[in-house]
Amino acid sequence: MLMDSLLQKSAQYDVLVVGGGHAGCEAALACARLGFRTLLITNSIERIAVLSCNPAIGGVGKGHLVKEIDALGGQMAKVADATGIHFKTLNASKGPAVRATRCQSDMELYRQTMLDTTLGTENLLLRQDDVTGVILDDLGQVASVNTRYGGEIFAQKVILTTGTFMNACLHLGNKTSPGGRFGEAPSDGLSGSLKDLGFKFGRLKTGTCPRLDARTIDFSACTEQTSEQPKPRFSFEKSEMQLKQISCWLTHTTEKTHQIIQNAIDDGLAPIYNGQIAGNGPRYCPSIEDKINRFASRGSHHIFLEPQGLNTYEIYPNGITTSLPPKIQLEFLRSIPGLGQVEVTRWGYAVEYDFIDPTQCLPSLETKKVGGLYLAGQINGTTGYEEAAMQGLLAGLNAARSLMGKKSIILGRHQAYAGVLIDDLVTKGTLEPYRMFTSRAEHRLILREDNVYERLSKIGFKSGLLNKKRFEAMCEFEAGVQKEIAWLKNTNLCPNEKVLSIFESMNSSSINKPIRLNELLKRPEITADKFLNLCTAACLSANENPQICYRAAIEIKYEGYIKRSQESIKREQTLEDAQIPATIFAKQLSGLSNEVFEKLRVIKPQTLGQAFRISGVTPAALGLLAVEIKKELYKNV
Amino acid sequence: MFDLNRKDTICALATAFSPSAIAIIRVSGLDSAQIKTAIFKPKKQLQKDFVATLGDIVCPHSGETIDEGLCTFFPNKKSYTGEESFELSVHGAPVIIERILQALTEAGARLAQPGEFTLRAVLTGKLDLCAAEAVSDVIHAQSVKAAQTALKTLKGGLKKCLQPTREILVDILSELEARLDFPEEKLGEANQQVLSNKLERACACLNKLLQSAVLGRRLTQGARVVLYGEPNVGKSTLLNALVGEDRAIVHENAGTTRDVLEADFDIKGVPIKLVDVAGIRDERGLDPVEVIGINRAKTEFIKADVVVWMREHKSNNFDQENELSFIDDGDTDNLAPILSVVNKADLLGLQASLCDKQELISAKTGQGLNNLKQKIYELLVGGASDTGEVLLSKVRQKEEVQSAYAYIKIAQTALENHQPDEIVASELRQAGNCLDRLLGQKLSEDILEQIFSRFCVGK
Repeated sequence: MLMDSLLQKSAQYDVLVVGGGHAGCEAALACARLGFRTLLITNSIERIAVLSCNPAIGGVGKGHLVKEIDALGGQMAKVADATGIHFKTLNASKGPAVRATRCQSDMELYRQTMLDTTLGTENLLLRQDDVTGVILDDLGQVASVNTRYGGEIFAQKVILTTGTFMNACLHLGNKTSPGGRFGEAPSDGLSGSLKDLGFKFGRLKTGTCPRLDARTIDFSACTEQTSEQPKPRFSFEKSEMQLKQISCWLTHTTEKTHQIIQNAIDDGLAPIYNGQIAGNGPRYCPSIEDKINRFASRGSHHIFLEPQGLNTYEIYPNGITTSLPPKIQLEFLRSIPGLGQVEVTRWGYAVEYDFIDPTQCLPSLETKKVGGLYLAGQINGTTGYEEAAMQGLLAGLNAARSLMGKKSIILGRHQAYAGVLIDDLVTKGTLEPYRMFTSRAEHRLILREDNVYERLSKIGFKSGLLNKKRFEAMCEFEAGVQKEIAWLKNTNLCPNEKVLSIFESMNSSSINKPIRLNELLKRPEITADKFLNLCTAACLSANENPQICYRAAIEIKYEGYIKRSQESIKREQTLEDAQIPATIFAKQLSGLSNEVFEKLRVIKPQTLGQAFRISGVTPAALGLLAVEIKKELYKNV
Repeated sequence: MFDLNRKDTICALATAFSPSAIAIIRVSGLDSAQIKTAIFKPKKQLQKDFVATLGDIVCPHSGETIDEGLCTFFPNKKSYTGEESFELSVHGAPVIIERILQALTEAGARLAQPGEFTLRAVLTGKLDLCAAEAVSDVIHAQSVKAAQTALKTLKGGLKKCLQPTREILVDILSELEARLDFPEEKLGEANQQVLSNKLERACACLNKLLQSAVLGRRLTQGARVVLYGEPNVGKSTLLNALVGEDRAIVHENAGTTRDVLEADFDIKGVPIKLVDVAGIRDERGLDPVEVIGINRAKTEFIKADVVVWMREHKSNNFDQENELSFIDDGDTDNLAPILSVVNKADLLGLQASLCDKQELISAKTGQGLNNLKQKIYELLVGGASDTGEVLLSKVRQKEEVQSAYAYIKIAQTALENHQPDEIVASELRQAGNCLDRLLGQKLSEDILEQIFSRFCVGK
């Protein structure tokens, strides 16, 4: 006992973050910003926050996550805005809930900016080393880690964000080599150490495409896609750093491409088909081999040629992930319009790696087995920078809160995509790299990019990560929205000649007496632009901040549907609020099937709502759990 | 979803679902008072909380009286569940119970899931430890039976009925969701007309299901039990014996009954229309009126809920397939269950040997009639269960199918009004969830599976 307290006192750091990817950076920044002495250990300081696959941030579901990170006081949104060289609002023609921001960042600048941020943060130290094991104290709490060079390092909390590096293996044609990213060694010891601690592992596969030299591409054979103006952004404030915006290019595979790839598969040269790779790949991110094999009827697949930065010739050809041998990669690339003479700078490859079954984590991302040990990012079986960053942010935040003796922040599925992400992981686990889709959210209409500050800024502020100035600005924005909604509900549009001609031009039924603006907005054919035209024609002035107008218009336009969603959230809330004491899983619960009981015992859901999402849990089982909760509460009185 | 909104009012039978003198139906939730007013008409105006009041239980729409019974009202925080609630003590006939539950759902209540009353009691802090332990055993017992029944219901064709609609929903949702989640894939717009047609088809499927909902018809018009067989096997005699009065003309001449004759009676409270028809025989050489009668008999056969197929002992070897050849397309899957009955037991003596599945009766002496009634009853209410789960789950099924239908209608309107796809999708998901609650399936994963198998999406 004396020894323990000595160790506790001598802990060199409050928090130790292992891994410097997107999860690691957010985790380390969160802890340091909340005042805790934090050490980030990475195997390569130069490779911190590298965009190792696609140089893009955001997208449908993912853009939502980035904005949520911003509202909670994280870093990713700011860095993406500052280093973005091509922006786009996806689904602009679709409904408000699925509209999403995506940007391509200058890879090098992104990395550099994030590195500078971490280096410039008080309480945060970086060290290049390799963590080989986690060591516990007598109580089974995390005590320290072993490193390859620097020996044992003590810390009160350890956050593991090792990405694809655990027991990682690269596949390029028939060549297999240990490694987490091309040219970088895997972290071997850690995986074994965690297995010794009894963690359950799985194995996953992911891949990346070859990179091309822009100087050898004939862009005139491709379709240009320009960056959107005005530029959308992720962060609440406009970034001071504004980079030149450049175009992307669109091309496609040809019949010849497909023939070359099919032949290679037939010749047993594709690692994903010849048995060389065993891990599960993501269904939504098929390699080009997979696309051609499974969708033989498609004559062509799109390829987006995306510049990796302003000061590089490297191009990322989005859409052709492959682990075929280099010779074949080059051959099929050259069958693609615009790439006839292309040279490859780096070969595409597949990587297989260990992940930890995330149902072993609590919703705070602390592991159930080892107190003080947190997991975030690809180690939990996810894919994507945004998913990783969000987990890092929450793991960091909750580790810091635990040090402060405060309750964890656990977001609901109706509050944030972050809530959907974490709940899915810790409740259901995953069999393939988990990526966010909007269809995973049952309350999609409520989880929009435009209302992210309303949803999360208060939580960000209370947690201490979102500073007061930003929080107040966000509140002011929301107040503006409410004022605008009131204005829309109380203002009439009067018919005049100009107004009537606009009605006629857009085929909307005309008006002969004044009409409330909110009624007008509810007409499906009245888009935001047309609405503003009408206001101008009627000499009505909407709020001058277009984002406030946009957001108020959505609240009005979809009022009925939003209300329906909110009602269904309210209905489920009682279950979400009903906490289950973990102690009730320690004994046999009569009346439950063994299968269901085993699942409950392993996952240890924290609320009845979470329990109900476990497959096989019926309403009757929930009733039994409710009774057990009651019994448990009585016992403790 | 297990709905726990306090506004959501639930109802359920609190006693066993079997013919009994008294049954208790419990209602709990914020709308309890309102629902009580809609379905309970007290004899005296003065009603006190906690005091049983005599009155009529009525259908909220037609105002028709279903039963006379006692109603006890419990104000908020002073009931078993801790919510505003009331209890009805009514006559224990299954048909009455079912009609009252139907009336309650029409008035705005929802049928409770097994254990839901208890769950509410726990959540409102009303249930004490002893009670909790006691009910936990009950829920256990119920849930085992419920699970068995659920399995039966699935096998019994519910899945077959709902699956086509669900497949349409998954199909449409994967079309919509693929475009929402993968805009970079340039999948093009989903064809509105095709979607709209598919939705129409889904609606039609569910509507047909609702129209044919056996339950509703049996409740309002009574179950049709058709007495079928060759002439002179004693069909009319059986009708008279069962009804207890001389309704049909009985004569030793074969072919006495020509037209369809209906008579009402009930078995343990289940209303039944007993249908006597012309005897079936070779039509050649018969007079045209009898031929018309035989054709009507065949029509009745197809419409029946239960067929009592009567024979004399001599026609022991019986070739059902051949005798059913009049049914179009040989579509015998949807036919009512057939009870094979051998009449005139009184003439056979005790040693008469029968096939396993035949019932031996004598319409003349009354021998075996109680047994026959029991068999008919079991076929109608799903005999194996005495928990009421079968009938109750039928009401629940209807309720879920109705809400699925309503959600699809809203989705249709949204689609026609060019509302964004995610709004259409969100309504369709709700519809899918209703069906999944009956089928025990998970929509989300199926939609993703469809997307990835149908569309080549991803970077």
